Amino acid sequence: MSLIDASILAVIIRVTAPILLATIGALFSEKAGVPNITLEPAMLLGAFFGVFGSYYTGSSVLGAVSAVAAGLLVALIFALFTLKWGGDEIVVGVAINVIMGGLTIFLLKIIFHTSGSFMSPEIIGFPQLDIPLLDRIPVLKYLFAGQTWVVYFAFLSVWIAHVLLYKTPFGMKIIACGENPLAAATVGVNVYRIRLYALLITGGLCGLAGSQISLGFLSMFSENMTAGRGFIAVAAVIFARAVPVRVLFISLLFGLAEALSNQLQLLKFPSELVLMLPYLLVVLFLVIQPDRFRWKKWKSAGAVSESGA
Amino acid sequence: MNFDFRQKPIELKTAVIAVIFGIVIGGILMLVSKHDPFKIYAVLFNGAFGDKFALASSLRWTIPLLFTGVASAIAFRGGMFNIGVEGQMYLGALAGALTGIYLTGLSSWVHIPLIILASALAGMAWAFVPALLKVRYNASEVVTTLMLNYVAIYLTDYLVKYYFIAKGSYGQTIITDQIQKSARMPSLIHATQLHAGLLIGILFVVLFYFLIKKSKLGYEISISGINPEFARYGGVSVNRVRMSVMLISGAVAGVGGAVEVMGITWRFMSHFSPNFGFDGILASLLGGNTPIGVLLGALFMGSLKAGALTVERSTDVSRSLATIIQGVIICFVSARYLMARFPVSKWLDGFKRNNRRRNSDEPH
Repeated sequence: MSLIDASILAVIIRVTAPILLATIGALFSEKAGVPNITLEPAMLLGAFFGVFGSYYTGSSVLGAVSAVAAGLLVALIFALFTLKWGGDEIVVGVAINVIMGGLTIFLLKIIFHTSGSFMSPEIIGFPQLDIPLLDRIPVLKYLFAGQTWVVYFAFLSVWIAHVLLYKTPFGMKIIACGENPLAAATVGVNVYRIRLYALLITGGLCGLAGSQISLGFLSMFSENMTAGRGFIAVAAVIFARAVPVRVLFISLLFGLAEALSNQLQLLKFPSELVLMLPYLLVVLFLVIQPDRFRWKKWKSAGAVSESGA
Repeated sequence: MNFDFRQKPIELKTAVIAVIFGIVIGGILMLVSKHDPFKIYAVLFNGAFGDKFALASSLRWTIPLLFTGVASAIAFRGGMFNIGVEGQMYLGALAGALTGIYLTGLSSWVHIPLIILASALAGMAWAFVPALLKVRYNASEVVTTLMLNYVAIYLTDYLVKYYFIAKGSYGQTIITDQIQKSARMPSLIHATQLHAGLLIGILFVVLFYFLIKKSKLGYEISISGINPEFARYGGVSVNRVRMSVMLISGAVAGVGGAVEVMGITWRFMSHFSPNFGFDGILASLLGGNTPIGVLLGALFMGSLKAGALTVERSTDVSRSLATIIQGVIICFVSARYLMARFPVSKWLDGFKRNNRRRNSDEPH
């Protein structure tokens, strides 16, 4: 088996989709100036409820709907504790990570009476779509033929995010809340409400991303199956300096790393070393572009502290 | 980047109210899953405090949290949100296990300190990476430490699998050989898992107290954590402080890993830690990052863990219930505005006043 063949292109696209969706989600939190590390739990709960919805309704679409609902729920809890009750974003974020890690295990046991993972033929995965005429286009046919609709939506979401953020009043308000919340409030923007909406968009997209992980290929749920992709998304959006188009390329890079590590494992290469790849890539990214690693909120504080150093 | 984590004092009442919220929400979850919360909590309480064995179990689970709790608290004190305690612990455990296996013919009094030293250095080395990236490149330690947790787990797996695998194990389970007899922690109570690591853990809490309250570095750590600009103005090198707290934090976490190896597993095992790192973070946050707070927080989290294991054995409720309750508690501890709505001290004052009035109203 060779390392690179045409099929890996499709794999790259498939595994990029959840990271891309989550990264676009992270983009909205980042733009609104909220340090949000609850993407991972939103994805995890989304992955679980994607399976849950699909198993009980027999419809993958309803699976996706319940995954999105789960993501929204995580965002609501995060917003409640931080925006409304003044909790520290990082502390609450870590706590929500812990809660959702436990909750999915808890639910796995009481709903499906199993632990570790749940697999069943009754979980309906996302169907692979065949778009007419696509198989006649030379390169794209390897990339996009037979992917799920979530994959198409993920790539479309880059454009949607771009339009929403830069071409609509709503997007401008989000950016204003991140750049200068005080000024935004002065001109009558309800900063808390805008941030809530941004968090909800993040949560919903992450829920959908989770459902692509659990329903997009194998149709199963296992404990901690998102494996840090939510944090990769956070790092990716900072690295991309929160520009939608760059987010696309960074996500593809992470997708490539993941697909390669899948592929290398099939060869006789120590899988442990390969599995480290995406995480090391994140760390590397943080190093090679230090100036870009500032969450908006801290920009002013950072500038002050540096001049004082 | 100035990471906006400033440690804030946590009042006892906040912790108590948050614990109540956690227990109530845990109860609701049990109701939803058609269990009687009172019954389950009774099982949990019995499993944590019911008899000698339950108490020993609670203390056994407290031991690793003392280390990870102190490790987290030191970093948080210095304004570094080190969530890489888990990974630092893995490296420490492996270094400790190797020292325990390959150094032979020593007495315990020499062997165990050597293991502690080795594990501290390994944990320190692992924490050095995110610390350097933070002070040199301003890379958010929240992301780097977390990513390095995954790397640490895979790296230790790799090293054990290819270089230190136990004889007779063909890669099915990733474990090392057993450590020497001289490297094992004596048991404190016969026929339980409670081992002398408890004393080392308490010693570390005491050392943490002296570091933070009695030393110059401790003072520098405190002011850099509360207000880095002010610290710089006062001539403190905040970067040096950040580096120091990360290194100390990593060392303590590493020792925690080795103590787990010396006391419980007697070998390095892949995935030996059921998230001790995160539990320690929660213990530290619950205890307001103070020495006594970490001690109480670790005891609480350890007892909850021991109780939850009993619950899992005797009912079909998952042990992850404890994890959920812990997380909920930390959410509420952090919710300042909500907590401000519970003016407990005012209630207590009112209660005292009423009592006084009632007493003075009594006929003479």
